Formats: sequence, structure tokens, C-alpha cells
Amino acid sequence: MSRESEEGAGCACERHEGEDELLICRCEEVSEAEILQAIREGARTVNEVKRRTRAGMGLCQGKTCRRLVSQILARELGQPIGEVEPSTYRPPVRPVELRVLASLEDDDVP
Amino acid sequence: MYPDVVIIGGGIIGACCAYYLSLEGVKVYLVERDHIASGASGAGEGNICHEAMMPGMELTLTMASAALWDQFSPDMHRRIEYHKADTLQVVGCTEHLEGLEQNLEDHAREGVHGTLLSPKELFELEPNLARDVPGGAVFSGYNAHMQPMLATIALTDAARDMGAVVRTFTEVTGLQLSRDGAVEGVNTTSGPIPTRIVVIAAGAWSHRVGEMLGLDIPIVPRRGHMLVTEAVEDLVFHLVTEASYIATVEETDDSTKPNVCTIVELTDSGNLLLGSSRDTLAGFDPRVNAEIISAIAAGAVRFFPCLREVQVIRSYAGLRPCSPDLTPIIDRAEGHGGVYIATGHEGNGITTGPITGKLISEMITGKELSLPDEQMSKLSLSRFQAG
Repeated sequence: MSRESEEGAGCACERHEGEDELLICRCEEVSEAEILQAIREGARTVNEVKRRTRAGMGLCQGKTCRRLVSQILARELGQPIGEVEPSTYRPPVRPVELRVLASLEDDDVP
Repeated sequence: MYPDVVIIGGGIIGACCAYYLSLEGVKVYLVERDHIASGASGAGEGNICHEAMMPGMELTLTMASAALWDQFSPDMHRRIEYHKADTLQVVGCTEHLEGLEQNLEDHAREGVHGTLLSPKELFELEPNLARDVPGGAVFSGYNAHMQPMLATIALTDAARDMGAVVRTFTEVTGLQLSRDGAVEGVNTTSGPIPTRIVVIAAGAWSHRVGEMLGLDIPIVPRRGHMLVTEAVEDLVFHLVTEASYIATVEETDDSTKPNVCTIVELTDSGNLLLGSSRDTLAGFDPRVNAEIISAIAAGAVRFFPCLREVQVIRSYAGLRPCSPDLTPIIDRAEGHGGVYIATGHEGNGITTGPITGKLISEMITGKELSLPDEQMSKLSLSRFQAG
């Protein structure tokens, strides 16, 4: 399995033109440079990139950036994109107001 | 080049063990079957909250560990978003005021002094608190919060910088033992690793690792839920916990009803973390339960009505390692040469990780222990073994 990693054995990740300006995660304002740095530090999966950079932790929960992060990982690790482990989806699918969640109990939702 | 010590588990406890052992020049190899902080360490709040700790061993460990967190470099503190912070403990009804006062008394006896506040004083500190909150207390100078995933990652990175090997997505499949039961190596999905010393820091899964060498480590998974809101501004200013928190932790959940106790915490990113729950109803299933999510939301809105229209963007649950007396096991296993255990921290792994790593490092290197023997006996595995 390619995701097995001896952390720090590290991917050299060349610099890419404009990586500092290119936003990958708009919600959390994470640039491509920060994603590349996380990969240099040992991240091999979208979840690990997320934990190191916050990419995908914002309001939209990675609806756009998770694919971009997968693509960057595939490119940098020299893997087919299908082999990059996708990130975990967490409920709710869309943001929900607290008052709505709070009232679930009243409606006897199981 | 065999490692001196193999640590099983890449959560905060394994990370702290790796860090403190590496500081002593011990050659460490950490194996984690998923990624770093993929279990309970990535599913908590990351706060150090003395008033929410049970007086006794839990508070003792917390005080020792909080001092260690404070000692990390400013650079490390920045990286893990560590800040000292005043915290508030509040009650939802006048009947609970007595419990709050009792809690203040119990903690003061151990050197943690909170100040009881009138509703007016409370609203000055936390202006958006519900107007019918009958009282609370403030704790100044004791507590801190940090980003728990970054803390776990930063400590494993620091251990690695000192020479430790950190191997993720590598699962332990068995242990090699000598005829007298001493450890000779660890078998993993990435191959065997010869070693004479193993630290079991596998969190909620520690019992399964113990089974591989015929050792009964009495740990069960206790699920804890969290909600994350969108980033907000100027709504909540402190870590606010409901004073029933300790009672909730202590309540053993043989009933079918999960314990829910309100915690509202502001993070560096502006998102609020809302908790908390404890239950053992779902075994090793980490999926969230709608009823519990709803109860946490209701609690947050009850104390902070201003949050009604704030959006929840994420919810998750973590499986925390729970021992029969809710106190961790930090010990050398009798009759199993070279086996050390560091688990059972339940929801306090971030808080008491550093003291745990330091104690394990002291045991392995033969240094004087940071805690006296009578305290260490309360952390022993043998306290659960009948006889």
C-alpha cells in the first residue's frame, strides 16, 4: 500500500509557480503552498492534509477543495487519483442551524 | 538498528510517550494503523479544564500535566494554538448551585481556586449568556486550550526531529514473545520490528492489543460527541462548562440514556466547539447519534440563546478509552517483560498526555518518577486484578 508512510521520509515536492497565491480551500484560505508543505511533512491522505492545514474544515466542509487536494496528492506522490484515500464525510451534509438540531428531540426523531 | 522502544498508537498518548522518550535519547519507533490523531485525539476539544476534573488522581495528573504543557516553547505553543484562558463554570438551575459550591470547595482543597460569581458578574464576563442562568464561577490562571490534532501531530513531528521513526497506516498484528513471556518484537502489516520494549498506547483499542499477549487491559470504548459551528464573532468569550460535568463523567452508563453536559468553547479559528456526551451504547461504532447531537445543540442554545441561528457545519464522535474506575493505567505489566501500558485516559488524553509520556519515559529509563509510589499504585494495572 502506497499510503504507508514513514513520516518525514518525505516527498520532496517541487515548488510550483504561483503556489503561494493559489487558494485551494477558499473557506479556510489555504494556499497550494501550504498543502505542499503538509505533504513534505508527511501527509499522504486528504484527512492528513486537512488536519495539518484546515483545508476542508470550513463552512462548505471541503465540497470543492477535497478533490483539489486529492489531485495535488496524486500529482506529488505519483499515484493514480483513485489510490488517494478520500477524506471522511461528517454529518450534516449542509450546515444546519443549532435551533433546528435542538428541536429534533421534540419531533421524536430516532 | 533495532529501536529501543516500539510505541503502539499514534494518538496524543503515543505522541507524548514518543516525545519524552526521544528527549532522553531513547530510540523510538511509533506505529499507528491509521494516521496520526485519527482516533479520540482528533475528536475532542483540546482544553485543560481543572474544575471539570475529579478531585483526586485525575486532578493530580491534570495539575502536573498542565505545568508541562506550559513549559513547551513559544514556538510549539503557537503551532498547536495553545493559549492560557480563564474559564467559566455555570449552572442551569438554582438546584445545581449547591453542587457548584461543593465543586469549588473540593477543588480549593487541592489548590485550584475558583471564584463564585453573581449572575450580574457572570453576564459582565459573558454578556450573551442566557439571562436566567442563576450563577457560576470563574477560574483564572489555571486553564488552557489548544488544537488537539495539531498538538498530537506537533509532538510526533518533534519526536521525529529527535530521531524517532513514525510509521502510519501500519497495524500491529501480533507480538513476538520469548518462552518466559518477554517481548522480542512486534509484527506489523509493514513487517516485523525487533524490540525489547513495547508501550501500548492504543486508546480504546488497547484491550485488543493486550489480548495479543494474553494480557487483560480492562478498557472499553466510551463514545463522545462534538459539534462544530461556523466561525462566529463576539458571541462567546470563554470556555463555558456546565457544573454538572463531573457528575456526568462519574455516572457509569449502565442505563440506556447517554450523559449530556453542555460545553461551549471558542477556538482560534472562530468556530465554536459544542459538547459533550458520554456513552458506551454503540461499542466500537464511531458514528454519531441524532438524539445525542440534538441534546448537545439544545444545551448550547439553552445557555447561549444567541447561538440559535448559528450553523453547525460538522459533527463527530470519538471513542475514548475508558477504564473501570475512569482513571488511566500508566504501568509496567507484571509478568510480561518489556510491556508498558499507557491508556484509559477517557476524555482527558490531551490534558494528561504530557505527564503520562513523562512517567512512561521515567519508568523505561529508570529515572525517579514524577509522582510518588502511593500515587503510582492508583495508576497500576494490578488495581483491577482480583486477588
